[in-house]
Amino acid sequence: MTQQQVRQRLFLFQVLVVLAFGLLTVQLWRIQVLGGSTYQTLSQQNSIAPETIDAPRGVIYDRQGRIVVRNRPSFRATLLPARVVNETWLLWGEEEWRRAGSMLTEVAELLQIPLPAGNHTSQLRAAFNQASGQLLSEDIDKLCQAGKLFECFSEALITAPYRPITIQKDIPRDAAFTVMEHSINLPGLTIVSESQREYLYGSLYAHLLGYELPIPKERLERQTRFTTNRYLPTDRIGVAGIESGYEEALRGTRGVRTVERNVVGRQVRVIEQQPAIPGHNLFLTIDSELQKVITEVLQEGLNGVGSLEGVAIVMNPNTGEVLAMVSLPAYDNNLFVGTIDPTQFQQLSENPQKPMFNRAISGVYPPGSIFKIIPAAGALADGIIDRTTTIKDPGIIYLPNENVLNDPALAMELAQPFVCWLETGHGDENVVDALAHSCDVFFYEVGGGYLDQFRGLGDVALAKWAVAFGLGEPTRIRLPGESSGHVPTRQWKRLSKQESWVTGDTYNMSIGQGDVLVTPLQILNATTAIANGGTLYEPQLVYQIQDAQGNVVQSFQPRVLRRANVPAEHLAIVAEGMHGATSWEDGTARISFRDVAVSVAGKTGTAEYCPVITKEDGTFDCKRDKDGNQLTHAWFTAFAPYENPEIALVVFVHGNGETVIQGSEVAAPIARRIIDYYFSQRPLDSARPVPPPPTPTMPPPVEVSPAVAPIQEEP
Amino acid sequence: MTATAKLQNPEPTAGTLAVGFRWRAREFFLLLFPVALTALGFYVLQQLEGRVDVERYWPAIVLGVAALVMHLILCWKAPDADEMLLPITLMMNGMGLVMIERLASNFTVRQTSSMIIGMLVCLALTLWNEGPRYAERYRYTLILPGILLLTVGLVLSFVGEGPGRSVLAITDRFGIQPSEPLKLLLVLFLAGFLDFHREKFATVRLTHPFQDRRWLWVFIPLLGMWGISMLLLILQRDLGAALLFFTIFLVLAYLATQRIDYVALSLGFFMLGAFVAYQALSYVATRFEVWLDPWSFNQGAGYQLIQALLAVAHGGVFGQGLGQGFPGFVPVVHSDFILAAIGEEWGLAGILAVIGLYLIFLLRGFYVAMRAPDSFEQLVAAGLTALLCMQALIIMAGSLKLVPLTGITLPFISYGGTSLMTSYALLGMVLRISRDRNLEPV
Repeated sequence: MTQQQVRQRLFLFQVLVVLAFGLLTVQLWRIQVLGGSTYQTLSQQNSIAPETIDAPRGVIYDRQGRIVVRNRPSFRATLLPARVVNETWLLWGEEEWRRAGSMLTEVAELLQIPLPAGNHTSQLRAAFNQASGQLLSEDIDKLCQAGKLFECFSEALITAPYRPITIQKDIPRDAAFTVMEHSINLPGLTIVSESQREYLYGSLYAHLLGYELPIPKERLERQTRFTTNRYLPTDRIGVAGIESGYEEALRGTRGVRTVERNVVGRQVRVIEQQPAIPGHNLFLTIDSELQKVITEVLQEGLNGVGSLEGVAIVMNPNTGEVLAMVSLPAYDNNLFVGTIDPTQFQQLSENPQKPMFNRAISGVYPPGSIFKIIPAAGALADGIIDRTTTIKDPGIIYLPNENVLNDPALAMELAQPFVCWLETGHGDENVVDALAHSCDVFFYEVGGGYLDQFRGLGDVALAKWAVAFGLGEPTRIRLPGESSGHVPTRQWKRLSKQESWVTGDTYNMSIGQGDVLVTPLQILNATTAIANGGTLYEPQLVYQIQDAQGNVVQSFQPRVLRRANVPAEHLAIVAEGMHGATSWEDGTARISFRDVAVSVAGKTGTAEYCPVITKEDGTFDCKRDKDGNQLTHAWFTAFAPYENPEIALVVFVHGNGETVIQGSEVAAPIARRIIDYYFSQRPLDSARPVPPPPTPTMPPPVEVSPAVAPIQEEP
Repeated sequence: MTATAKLQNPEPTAGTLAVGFRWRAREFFLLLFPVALTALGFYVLQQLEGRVDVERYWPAIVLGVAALVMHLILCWKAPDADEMLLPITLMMNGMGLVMIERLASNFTVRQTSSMIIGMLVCLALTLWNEGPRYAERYRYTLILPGILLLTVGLVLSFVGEGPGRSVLAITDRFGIQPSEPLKLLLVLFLAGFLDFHREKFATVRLTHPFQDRRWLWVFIPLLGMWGISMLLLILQRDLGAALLFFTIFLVLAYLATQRIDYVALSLGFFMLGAFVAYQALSYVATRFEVWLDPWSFNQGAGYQLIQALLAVAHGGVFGQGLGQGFPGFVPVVHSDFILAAIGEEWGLAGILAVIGLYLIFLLRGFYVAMRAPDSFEQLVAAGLTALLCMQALIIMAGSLKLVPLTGITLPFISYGGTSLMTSYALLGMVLRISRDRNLEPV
């Protein structure tokens, strides 16, 4: 490279640097001369910005006005870095560092934040030097949550000294008051109270009430520009149970406060304030006492047969009010309050019994014999049978093989046997007898007909009546996650199993086996229709909604879901059969309902289910008990008193995985104890709600503004 | 002049350097300005109302005496050294001292002592005749302390509170920043390497990698520097140092080679690194976002920049006057953001003066480079000068929202012991090379 070239290069580089400095000068000119006035105004003008005020969530009461969920103040401690120091930190000498160090140590002791051992002043200085070495802040809140008080304080002091930092969350009430007393001597330390849910009955209301969680991202993104009363990313939202179903009523409307701040973020004054509107209070139809007794009784029943899962629901058959709804196993809603304990949450979500699953509305099971009330009512309404039609039950009937019908002899040879649960058979039975005895053969024939001797409903009519009684579709209870269950049809089987529908399927369906799946609540709804003359109500959990001032916003109105279109006298016949089941000496539920104080109409069910296992030869089979019988769930559905129904209930006990459990032996005794309790302990008029008491809502949380005390204008 | 030519005449020419007292009149008169400015600055600060500190002028006196002593030693031992560089740097240093006394007077003592140590280092390097020869001959040995410094820096990332530490704390009041001396060593090494392999750089055919294997030599420094920068960026989160290191490499490659394609390739690597960092490292992305719109982050990451801009704007053309502004709102104003304080109190005029000082330093440094007797010294002088100016440019542009902000100091002006000493060492090396100008070119 010649000297000439070197000169050229150096010169070119000089030109580049001069150009760069020239650009710098242009920018300076823009800021200092042209933009000077703009920036000066900006720096002198205070910013006026809206700030939000959270609305307290509605309180939930039970039927008798007892609080089941309320808001409890939760306390957190915040520190305003600019108030800890009262002069510019650059000029700090040894003395100031020692003062700040000892003050932070005092704060830490007061809040029981563990600090590393050693000289706290030098630790603070080290943290501070490190923080000032990095130009831009890390996530300050993360440092604070990690308990690194010095680091968090230093970062905040450097980057945003007038923004309060949260140094501890979930402080117990007493500790919070102690801190408040001491905070007079500790400038900048403030206790902020916020409201937090408190579920007073714990796991008793687990699935009913549900819980709230920090709002999911998808939900936030669903909000459009036009959404009013928007959610903020810091909000919580009900995601299960009533907290979710009645989210709109419970959440209230956020308030807005316009605050004037100067350019460093110090609050100058509050210009105007639009207070938050608290959420509405809910009065449940649930009776806490009844709920408690049912939980105990059901749990004892489950323990007796070694089952882990069960459901019991009690409803007013004349209105659709749900008086109690228990799904076991349950969980404690308080677990979801505040910061969730990860180990407990993991235990809960990995528990094979799925305690968070509300079996009453989301679990689908084969109904077994309790389904028989539907073909009984349907056949009466369609004129297939009447009160007196009898069918002979020999204990077993043979259904000719439908694939070889042109050869009757062969068809009979390959015939499929259908047995009654009573091997000897019930003999001649009419519909009332058949319901009381739960005669399988009667319903095989009512449902699917038998040869030329009897014309049954057929699968289409059977499905029609199942839907008429509310199966295969949601009951529209206002809880998230309700299942529809399943009513099989000819077309469904063809499409999903690639098989044709045969009369055997109709037979199975008639006794609630095969592919029929129901939720316990659907069965209860069907029972209420029998009890009240054919009306299916939407089950409701709330009988009144009030605003925070106690004005009724919405009161209870029974809502009709559909009518079963069965004449009342036919339903009365079905009810008579159900009454027989508990009152006749040979009724299926008689052993459980001897000497009962009120007359009860009920129906037992023992539903076979199929936990699939792989056998040694690689084929699949259902798990069976030691005698080779399929495992069963136990059901019982009933209403009482028979003559003038006040309550309807359903009890479901999930199979224990080992033995056959009978509806009559397992579920019916539970129902008996519930009925006994209800009619002995509850005054008969308690089905009517008491007038709600004045509503104690929590006052809006105390907002302690970060910097109300005047600070001298300039160091 | 080629490397082969130099090898034929390997004996250094140190013996011929001028010694014996000679009055450096120009330097003497120029030195009056920084001394007067500093004294005036301290006087004004003492006159401010409500100042609670003990009255003190001694930092100004120390600076004056030190300037005189340095001047006399140079007159006696190195009369041929450049006469403008010392006054320029002392001017900047004096401005810095005044500003630090005004902003954070508890740091003045430390800054003054760093200045004294820095001046001693500077003198030693200026008077060390064998310096440039040793630096050239033992360029690979230079790597060892370099690697040590780098390793210390990187190990720092893993001790204590994780990534982001750039200061090696020796006690809780004293620590060093390894990346500062490292950048000087890098300039020396790269200058030696590029000078020695000049031929290869001139003739290598980058388009024929298999026939012409010299490209290995060519790419080793490129990839090495790129790697170091990325390591600093990822492990230490030191965006400023990473940017500066790679810029030094680019400048030296540009000055030493005639290969525009090589420089373009290096620029390509730079862009790639920047893009990857923006995509992968959230804190780099944050800085970009803050740069584009600091007002959206006004209570967090953008707070510093906004406060700095407001302070600068508050200054206007002639400034609010020393001690009359409110630069205390700007975080770390005495160090990385000292320009904001100068802008507020000295105004546009003050910042233009600072820019002017750096430009004069650049002109003078390149003048030294052009007069240097051999290509190595030329590269070193040009590289060191460019390093100082690039560092000043990067942080000044950052504080004025021209480029994303990076945390480096304004050389000679900002508070920071290691930074000040390093800057004085740089000055010493340039002064030493300036003494060689009267030698016969080899």
